[in-house]
Amino acid sequence: MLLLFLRFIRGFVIVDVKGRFPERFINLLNRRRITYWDMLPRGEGYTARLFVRDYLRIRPLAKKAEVRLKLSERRGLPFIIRRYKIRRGIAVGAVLAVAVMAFLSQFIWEVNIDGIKRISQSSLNQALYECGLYPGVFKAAVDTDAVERRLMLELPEIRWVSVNALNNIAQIQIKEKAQPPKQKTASYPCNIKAERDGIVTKTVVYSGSKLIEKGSAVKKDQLLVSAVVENSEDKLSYVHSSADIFADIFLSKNIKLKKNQTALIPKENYSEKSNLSFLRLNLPFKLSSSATELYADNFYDLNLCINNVNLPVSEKLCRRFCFEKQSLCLKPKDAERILNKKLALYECFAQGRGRIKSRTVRTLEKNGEYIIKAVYTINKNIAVKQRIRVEQ
Amino acid sequence: MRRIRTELPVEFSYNLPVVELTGNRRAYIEGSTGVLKYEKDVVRINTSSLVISLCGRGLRLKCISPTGVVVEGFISNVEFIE
Repeated sequence: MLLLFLRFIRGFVIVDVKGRFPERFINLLNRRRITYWDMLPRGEGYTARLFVRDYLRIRPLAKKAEVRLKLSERRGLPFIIRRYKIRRGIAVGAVLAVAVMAFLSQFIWEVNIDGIKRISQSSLNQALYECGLYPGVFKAAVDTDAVERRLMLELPEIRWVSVNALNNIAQIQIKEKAQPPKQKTASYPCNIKAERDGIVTKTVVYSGSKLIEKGSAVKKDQLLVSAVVENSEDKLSYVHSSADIFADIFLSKNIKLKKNQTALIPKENYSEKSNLSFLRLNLPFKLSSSATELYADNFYDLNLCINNVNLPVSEKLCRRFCFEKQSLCLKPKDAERILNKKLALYECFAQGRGRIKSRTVRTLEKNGEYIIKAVYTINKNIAVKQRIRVEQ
Repeated sequence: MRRIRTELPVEFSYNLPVVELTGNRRAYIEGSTGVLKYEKDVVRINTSSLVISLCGRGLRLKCISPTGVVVEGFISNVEFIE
């Protein structure tokens, strides 16, 4: 490989040797210690490869051996340079490209973070920015040890951090602190009362005196488990009651929706505004305006990425969607669909962590409103702790 | 009494070339003084005492130095011409 490279740098020619004594020509070349290679027989003669400088020296030898030399090919760097001598722009371009590469390699292009689980990416990015490490910063200005130390102070959740600026990428490895286990600190005396009215279906008492049984009907705020416990010596003591009391509760929910609504309808067209970001430089790239009061902006950061490496060129795009107010009269079918969606959201998030045993839903139209009425039977834990004061 | 051998090896005493064959693919001839014929099928190498003719197909001179030649290809016949 090295030999091929050296030959390419020096430049070589491929010559066809034909004539009366081609073998004698080989012997003459050997005697003069002229380097040649890849000598292959072809027809009456052969072809050989020679360095350019040697080619000029072998003319008298060819004459002596009565052979004719025909230059069939020129290869190597000297010939390429000669070919592009007129086109100086190529050379200038090549020099400029090298200069640009050398200049750009002095900056951090990308910050890669590895090993975060609980720490949010945005807070870490902000902390890194404050430490002076962000895409576009001059690489020599980054003191990795100082960044590590400052990052540890900024984010106390970090146990260990390593910052390495390799090539144009700042690689940050983080180990987070282990979370201490939750300690049971609740030791104050407390009762357990009912959160809602219902019928008890299951009781699991961990500590305290149980006052109800399965099948009992309970009212809101009724005492379910007492903190007062009688011990084996017939003495009373107070404990921190703990229990799960499951009961069937009945809930009703009404959701209303006006028939005539004012809605924001998105317009078909949208306007775009973008900035071309190069390292820390932001240049306006595309400008368009839209005169409207109602709009929503979406921001996109489009990074130029080649071979999984983010280049320091990105387009920061802001797409503005315009809206207009429109009065709508909801059809019953649409209203039902919207109300059912709202009800589903309520069931998922608002009603608590209970299990829905049964559900009755009714939709009606009244006084210019659509109303959905839902009645639920939900089985859930109704135990709520109530602290009690004990005076000695 | 033990006799000390004073004879020189054959290649030195008669000034003979050394021919080394690697199967039928490669021949190394040491003591060559020049190439007499170079074709695809025949390569003739001159040495000080005889001419070595190699016949075959796809023969080529891999390497030539002032005292040695390496011929590569499918060698079918080696002939010594005095």
